[in-house]
Amino acid sequence: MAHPLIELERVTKLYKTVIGVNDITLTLEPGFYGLLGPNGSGKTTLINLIIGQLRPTLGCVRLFGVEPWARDYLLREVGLCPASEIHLPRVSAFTWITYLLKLMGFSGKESRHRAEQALHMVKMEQAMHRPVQEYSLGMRQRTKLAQAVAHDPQLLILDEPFNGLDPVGRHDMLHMLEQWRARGRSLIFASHLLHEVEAIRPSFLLISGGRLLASGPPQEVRRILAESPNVVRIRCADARPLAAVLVEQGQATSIKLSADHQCVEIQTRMAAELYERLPELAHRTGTLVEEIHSTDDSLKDLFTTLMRRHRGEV
Amino acid sequence: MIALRRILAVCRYELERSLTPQRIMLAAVLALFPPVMLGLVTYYSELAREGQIGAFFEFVLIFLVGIVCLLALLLWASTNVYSELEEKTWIYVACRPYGRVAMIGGKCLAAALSAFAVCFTAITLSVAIGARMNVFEDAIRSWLTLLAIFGLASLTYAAVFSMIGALFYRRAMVFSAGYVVLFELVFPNLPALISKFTVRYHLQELGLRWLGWFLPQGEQAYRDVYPAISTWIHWVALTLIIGLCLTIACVTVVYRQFLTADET
Repeated sequence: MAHPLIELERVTKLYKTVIGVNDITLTLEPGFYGLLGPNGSGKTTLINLIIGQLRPTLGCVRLFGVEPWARDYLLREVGLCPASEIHLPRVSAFTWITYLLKLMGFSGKESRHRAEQALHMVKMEQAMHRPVQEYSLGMRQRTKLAQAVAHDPQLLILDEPFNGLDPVGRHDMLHMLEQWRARGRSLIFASHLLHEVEAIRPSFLLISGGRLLASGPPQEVRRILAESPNVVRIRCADARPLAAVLVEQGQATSIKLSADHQCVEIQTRMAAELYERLPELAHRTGTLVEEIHSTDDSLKDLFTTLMRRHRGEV
Repeated sequence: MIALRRILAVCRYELERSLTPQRIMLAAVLALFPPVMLGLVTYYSELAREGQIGAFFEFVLIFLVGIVCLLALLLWASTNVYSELEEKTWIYVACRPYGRVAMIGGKCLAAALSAFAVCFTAITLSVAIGARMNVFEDAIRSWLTLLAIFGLASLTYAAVFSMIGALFYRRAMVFSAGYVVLFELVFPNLPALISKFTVRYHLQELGLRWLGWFLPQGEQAYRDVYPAISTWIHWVALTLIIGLCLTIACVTVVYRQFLTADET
């Protein structure tokens, strides 16, 4: 019988008195997953539990059907791109990745070939023989990605992979991940930014305070987001009539109007209701809406709401 | 076979990246220390004028090269785990199959080879000085014997310091220095059973057998405390120490959860 990719049964991880991961139960079949949560929410701890670098204080973790703690042979099929910055004085990306491939058990020739291929894949072929300490942040990020994919694993785990990448770099990485999906491989993409995770169209795992607060397809997250308190920014030629009617209709808990009256920032308890009524209210006030933007801060509100829901307060 | 390939890969990588001007300079200073000291001491020594320099020369040579060997390994072997954590490269090694074990084995081997290279240079230059002063009856034999003893010492102490580096990775140098003081300076000089459990005792016994007594008047007093035992017991003891230290180091790194500051 085929095992799920990852199983967590009531997993808790304590760092002395601090909770890293709190009572998470989860089963992931092969696929693309976005692990979304604010900084310090337990994403890296969860990843380290999955790859057996940490031992759960309570509960059980299984990777490919086997408990990964102290069984690093399982990691043959896992590629990890950690969030932490690397310090490799006097070593080139090519030397480093060749070395890591030799550690995987490949021969010298095979390691050099694969290292070259991986660095080519992340467009580092020009700089691969230069010392890593001379690289920009984005180049180091590409190097980290190259070492994760060089041995062609089944599961790729990326922890904040867009850190330091410029728009071109992000585009290239997204393109590579699309190819990864096309090859039927699995991915866990951890980030604290919703738009980064959304770009790869994964199933979401929302984590905060060490707890798994929600999971599901993108539509589900959008629905939760819409039902949560949210800050929505609307840009139009004259936002004053729209702002007035929004207050009158009780759609906003607070409203900020910009000095030029062209932008209104609305704090709402239920964004979905606002989105539903906005066309009618705009039509009534004769407002031509040019842009609607839900700020990234909304993610904080989303997690606050999810946490309150989790505690049974909502 | 694959395990050996992994260990050699780590060893080669560590040796390659250790070829920096600072480290080469440090190695040169360490390697030159014994011959320079020996040259100065013998040049100004009364013993040289009295033609009794032989035993004294060998004694000082072993003492100085021993210090250099310990110092080199203290610097290069005991930082095995900490350097990976500091450079934030630990996770990349740890998430490779058997990567942690290969790292301990490979780094231990690299440290032993580096220390032996220093000892080799120091012994070669020192023996050359001694040969010029007619200190040795058979300089080539003494040179080869000293190389064998310090080859063995490099490997054994590399294993010991690797274990200390894995067990006490945050204060590895401090604990290693403590080990040197207790187990290499204090305990071996105690006329008690504990002195027989030190690495120095076994290396010293092998040295005495292979090189002969370099301080002849001390033999009887020494043998009263340390009766002669078979050579193979010393070999087994050193092999067991190497195996035990490396096993403890490997088990420690495999079963220890190394926390980084980046847990989120």
